This record gives sequence, C-alpha cells and structure tokens, in this order.
Amino acid sequence: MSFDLGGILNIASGGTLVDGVGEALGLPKPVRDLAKIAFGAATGNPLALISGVAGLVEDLSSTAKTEWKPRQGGASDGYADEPAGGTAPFASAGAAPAASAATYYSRGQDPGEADFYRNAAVLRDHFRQLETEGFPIPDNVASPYDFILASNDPNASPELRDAAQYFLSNPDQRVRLGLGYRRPSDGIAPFTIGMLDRAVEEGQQRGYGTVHGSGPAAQPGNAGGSPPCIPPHPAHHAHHAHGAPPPGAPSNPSGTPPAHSGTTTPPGAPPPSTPPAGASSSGGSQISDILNDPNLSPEEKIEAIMESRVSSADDDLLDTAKQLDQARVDGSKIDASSDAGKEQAAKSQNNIDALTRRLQSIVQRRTEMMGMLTNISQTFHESAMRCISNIR
Amino acid sequence: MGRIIKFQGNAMQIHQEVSKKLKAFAQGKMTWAEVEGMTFEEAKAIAQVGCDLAAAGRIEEARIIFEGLVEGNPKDSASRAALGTVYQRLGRFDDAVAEYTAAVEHDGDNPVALANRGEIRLRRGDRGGLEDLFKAVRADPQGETAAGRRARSLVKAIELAAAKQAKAQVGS
Repeated sequence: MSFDLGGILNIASGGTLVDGVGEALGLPKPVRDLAKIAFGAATGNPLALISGVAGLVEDLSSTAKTEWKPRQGGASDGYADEPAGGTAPFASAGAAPAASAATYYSRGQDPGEADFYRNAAVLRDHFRQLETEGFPIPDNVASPYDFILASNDPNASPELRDAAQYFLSNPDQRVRLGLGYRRPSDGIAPFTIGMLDRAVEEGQQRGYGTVHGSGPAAQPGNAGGSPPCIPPHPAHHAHHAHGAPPPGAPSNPSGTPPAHSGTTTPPGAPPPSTPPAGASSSGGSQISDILNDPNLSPEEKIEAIMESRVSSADDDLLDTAKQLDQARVDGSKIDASSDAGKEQAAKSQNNIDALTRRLQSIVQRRTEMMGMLTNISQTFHESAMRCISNIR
Repeated sequence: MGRIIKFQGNAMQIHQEVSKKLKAFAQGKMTWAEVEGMTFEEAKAIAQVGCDLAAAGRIEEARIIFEGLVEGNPKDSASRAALGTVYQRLGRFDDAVAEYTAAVEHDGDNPVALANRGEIRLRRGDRGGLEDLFKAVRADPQGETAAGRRARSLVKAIELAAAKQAKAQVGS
C-alpha cells in the first residue's frame, strides 16, 4: 500500500476544515463525518477523530448500498457451466423464453388463437425491422404507422408483412395485443417488444407454440445486459449473448437472411388480405394509404399521418446531416494557401453555414411536429376518458 | 431448486452422476451451486432480485436471498459483499465486516467490500480503514459502483483538507 499523504502527517487540527471541504464538495453529513474520522486517522489527530465519531449520528447502516459487483476474471468460479446451445432460464429476468413462429397449434386447439400467437411471435422475431419502418432510428417503440409500412414494405420478410397485415385487418386482435392502448394516466402506451413477449408467453402457457429459436438476449428490448445495481461485466457479456446479434443490430434471431430481393410476394406466401391502394414510399400516397385504410379509426389515422410527417422530417434530418458531414470533410481537404484556395474555402464555409441553418430549421420543425403529435394524443386520450367516465 | 433430488411416489431417486456430485460437495470439491447446476447468469438474476429488494427497503428478504447465494457459492465475492451491505443495513456490523473480509479474500479488488469495510473500520477508529478506501478507489477507477464513488469522495475530501491545512501551516 503506497498512497501519498505528503505533508498531512503534521497537522494539528482538522475537523472544521474537513467540514468546509466536504460541504464544498457537496458531501452528505455522514460522509463528511467519516471524512473527519479518516482525516483524524491519517493525521494522527485525535480531535478530528473524536469530532467525526461524535458527528456520525446517522448510522453507517444508512450509507451502505447493496450492490453486486462480480470479479473481472473468474466470476463464474463455483457456478455450473452454461448449458451448451441455450440461454439460462433466468438470463433475462421478466422476459419470456423465445418461441419461433413455427408449430403453433395442435389438434383440438383454436386455429384463430393460433394465428394470433403465431403472428405475435413473428412480430417479436422481427421487431427491430418493424419499429424502424417509419422512424429509422431504433427506439424500441413501434406504432400503427410502422405496421402500415411493414405490411407494404417489399424489403420486409413475407412473414413480417403478413403478421403486420393480420393485425391491421383484425382490430380486436390489435387491441388485444396492446397496440394503441391508452393508459388512463399518460395517454397512449408505447408499443414495445414487452407486449409481444407477453403475448408469446401467454401462448406458450396455453400450449400454442414451441420453445426454440432465439433467446431473449437476442431481442432489442432486452439488449444491454446488466440490471441497474449490477455494474457491466464485459467478460460475461460475450458469454451471455450466445451468438445473438449485438445491441443495436437488426433483429434477425432466426438466423435466416431477411428477404431483400425486392420481390413483393414469394411463391407460396399469401398476399396481404387488404392491400391499400397505391402502396409506395412517397409522402402523398402514404397519406392516402392511411386515409383509405378501413381498419384504422379516425384517431389512429390522424396519428399515423402525423407520424408520417415526423418520419419525413427524420429523413430530411439524416440527409442534411450527411451532407453537412461531407461538406466538412471536403472543406478540410482544401488548401487555403493560394487565393483560389481561399475562395474555395470561403465557399465551402458558406455551404457549411447554410447546411447548419437548414439542419436547425429541420430540428425545429420536427420538434414542433412531435409537440403537436403529443398534444393530439393527449386530446384524444382526454376525450376517451370523458366518454368512459360518462358511461360509468 | 429441486433439480437434484426428485421424489417419485414414495421413492427418492438420485442419479449416479448426482451421487458423484454430492460426494464432491461433501468433500468440499464442489459448491452447492455446481451440484444444483446453477449458472453465473442465474446467480446474477437472483442477485438482481436481492438488490431490488434491498433498494425497496425489504432488507430481511434481501438478506435471505444473499444468504442463499452465499450458501450456494461461498466463493462468490460479489454475493458476499452484497450480503455484507445487507448486514450493515441491519446494524450487524461484525457480520458485515466478516462478509466483506471474506469477499476481499476471494477478490482483493472488490470495491463494494473494500469501501464499506473501510468505512466501518474508520468508524471504529481503525486507521486500516483508510487503506481500504484507497484500495476501493483504485479498484473502481471509473466509479461504476456507488461504494467506489463514495470512497473516491471521501478520499478527495481528506486530500483537499490535508492540502489546505498544509498550505495554512506553511503560511504561518
């Protein structure tokens, strides 16, 4: 042990001093008192020591926080090896074990129920793609608008398209899944992978589906690993993943490559039951798709339209950010030693300034639209609550 | 966890492999966690429950969880340190120090055990507590644990106070 306490061993008093320093550092009183004791112990100063012990009215029991910090190497010493090819049953607390979309019902079971659970499992397996259909940055939340886009996305796998279409065509099942569910407290609940996990788990409990395929660690909702009181443990992250894609990677737990062939429907796959007319990625036809969709309520249509506007703002934002980055790279390559170079550098700077201003205005527009969307959701929610309270 | 000894009617069935494991456990060659087949990830999930209980103020229940984990694998320094914090919150300081010491024996760089033991030792007027605090700071340089961060604050306060006083002495 070699710590440098240089110069402090000849100090005569210190309780007040430690108090002052502790206050300046924002330390709570029990910790300041401990510091006094430590100061007294380090300096051999009995006054500070006594002052600290006397001041430590609040017991040390209140300062201790229960934490579980495994060792960097050999933390699993004394534990059994992980079973080969499978994730530990408790590997992700609260998450359901995964089920593939295959083998969902047997004789005597309801095919309608089997369809619900099978499609929920498909959505769960392809959640990353589903949630990034509209808003391209993964945020672990999907919306009705994402469902509409997924049902028409030629790059989506046929299973995902069919599953999205199934829930768009079956409002009852959509409600059952929790899509568009309005909480009494704070408006529409975000549609997350947890809702799909619950549906799949319920299906398993009722005997639909089989337990194999991807583990919960592969799911974006569970990506990240360590719970709050357990600090990250790099040595075990890799061990825990079991070959699952890293957090942030597109979810493809089945291991099969997604259908990016550009074909709309592969042989054998049923076409969407109610394809909206003129499905394409252009803004105008997207809005007409939403307006013409008979499966959406007026509220859902307005919300979906707003989300499509936000999504287009996101595209603009990303494009502009890319242009700005490119302009900066180009600007850094200009040799400003000559007159021509200086002129070029000035032009480049003007371009960067213009792009920056554009970026600011897009961010502002997006913020305004998000605010509007929030207000609309809030208004709908309040209206719904008024209706419910009138019924009561 | 009910994996080892299975009851079938009135007969208790123990497989041959399990029998071997039980012998190894009796000889101290295996932990009960290994006999049961408890993996590190399972232990981590159980520990998370214990941490949540402790954070919610359900200390007795947290104690049961961590005592179980320590019984299952006494080599697990993380569980021992966590049990120490639970004992500390229950006011059982001797037991807490014993657990921290056991944790440090298995993992000399456990910041939770070092920082909390350091605080208790200091409170008792033991100068060695300061050494524990310095070790805790070095064991957790990034401040990943609350204990490590607290130790860092303490050490910083002591160093600043000492520096100020030394300066004042030079001035006078």
